[in-house]
Amino acid sequence: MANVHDLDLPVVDLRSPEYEADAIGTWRAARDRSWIARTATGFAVLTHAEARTILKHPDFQVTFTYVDPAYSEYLHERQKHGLMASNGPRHVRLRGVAVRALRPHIVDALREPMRKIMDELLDAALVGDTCDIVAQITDPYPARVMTPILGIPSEDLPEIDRWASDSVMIFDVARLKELAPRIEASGREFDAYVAGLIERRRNDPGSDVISELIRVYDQDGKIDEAELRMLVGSLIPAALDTTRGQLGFTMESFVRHPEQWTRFVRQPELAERAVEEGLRFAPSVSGISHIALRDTSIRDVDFPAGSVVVVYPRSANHDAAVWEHADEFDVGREPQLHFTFGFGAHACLGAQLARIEMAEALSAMAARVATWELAGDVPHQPMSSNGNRLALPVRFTLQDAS
Amino acid sequence: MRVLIDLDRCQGHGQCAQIAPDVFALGDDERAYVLVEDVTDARHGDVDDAIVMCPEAAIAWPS
Repeated sequence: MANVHDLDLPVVDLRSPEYEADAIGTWRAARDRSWIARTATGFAVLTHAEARTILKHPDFQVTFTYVDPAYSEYLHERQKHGLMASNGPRHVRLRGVAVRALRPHIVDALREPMRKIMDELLDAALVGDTCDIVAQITDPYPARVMTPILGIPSEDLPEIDRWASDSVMIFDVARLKELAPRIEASGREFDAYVAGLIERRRNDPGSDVISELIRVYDQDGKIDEAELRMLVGSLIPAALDTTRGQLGFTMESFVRHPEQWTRFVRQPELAERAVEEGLRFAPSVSGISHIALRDTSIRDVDFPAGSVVVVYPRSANHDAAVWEHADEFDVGREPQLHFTFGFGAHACLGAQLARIEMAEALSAMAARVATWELAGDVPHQPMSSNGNRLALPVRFTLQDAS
Repeated sequence: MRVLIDLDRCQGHGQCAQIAPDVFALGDDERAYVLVEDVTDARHGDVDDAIVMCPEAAIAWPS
């Protein structure tokens, strides 16, 4: 057995220009040498089998102690009490409450409105022969779908948008020290907004998710006021920011692989698989951090208590041991477990909703657009963070009207 | 009523076994199994939650 700290491991620099230009290729090169690599923020788990093992391992726990209290006491405390940082019975109880918003009859009833909203966005975007898929289609879509469901007035969206964009910077572990003041200022504004929103909905309840959570709080006493605020505060960015990020990545994959778009247009029944392949191939998630609660070992490597290991979907989702031609975008692929929604006890609560939301979006686009062609650069957030696409300029052709 | 798990979809997240450990358990093959022939009325609520929470949409009541 060898202590992980003593091993000669590949080193990956998440702040390097190479990583910024080709994160998936950088991981591939490291994965060819080892199942684990060293980074500035912990040990990176590169392979599918080991990622699965660690995400389920009782000796490893999701860790969200990213923000050093020296950078921001406020963010540190906030993370400590969040859903991702809770474990065991408290975690099961909180998820049990949050999930009321996601019952199948609620989610299924959303298909029609989703399609209608996407069609409206397409009416506006598919004029002439060029558009920006991110700015005009994939970015506004989840917000338009989710605000009525959440019970958020649509005029609050621009502000929420700004807070949400700032909040995801917290995943940019490598730059946290410099970003912390901005994230904290934004976080405080957002928390005050959430408290006010809960009051508004309490006085004027509707059939929306936030009103439902308030009812659960007022009637069952299953959660306390701080937990109610935390759940509402988690739900808003989860519903608005994650799906638009992933849809941007998925559409970029299609634009860069036009033959796969043609195939999908001819076989619209591939929608579910296309969604899954988009999630696998180009995840909008950087890393999922875990900490060793006690001395433990994986394969032949010892991890002392306190070791931080980070599962990177951009590596594990491309493991050739699991997927043939793993670096090819292939919308006909048989779906298998990928890590874009995480895995195990903390796996994304909204995965089913997000899949339906993305399938409806892709299907609506495939019904109208025959081809996409990249027509400019694709600026994006740092890949050491989630790397969300900020623009996707394209030239398009529409299907024959016949 | 019986509850069904689609083993082609199940990836062994284990969320169902956390919510309703008397109804679901993870097998040695890392797939979830139903422990009971008949889910009592008192357990319907937790099984409904397990259906919603399953990240792979692998659990369902018979249609």
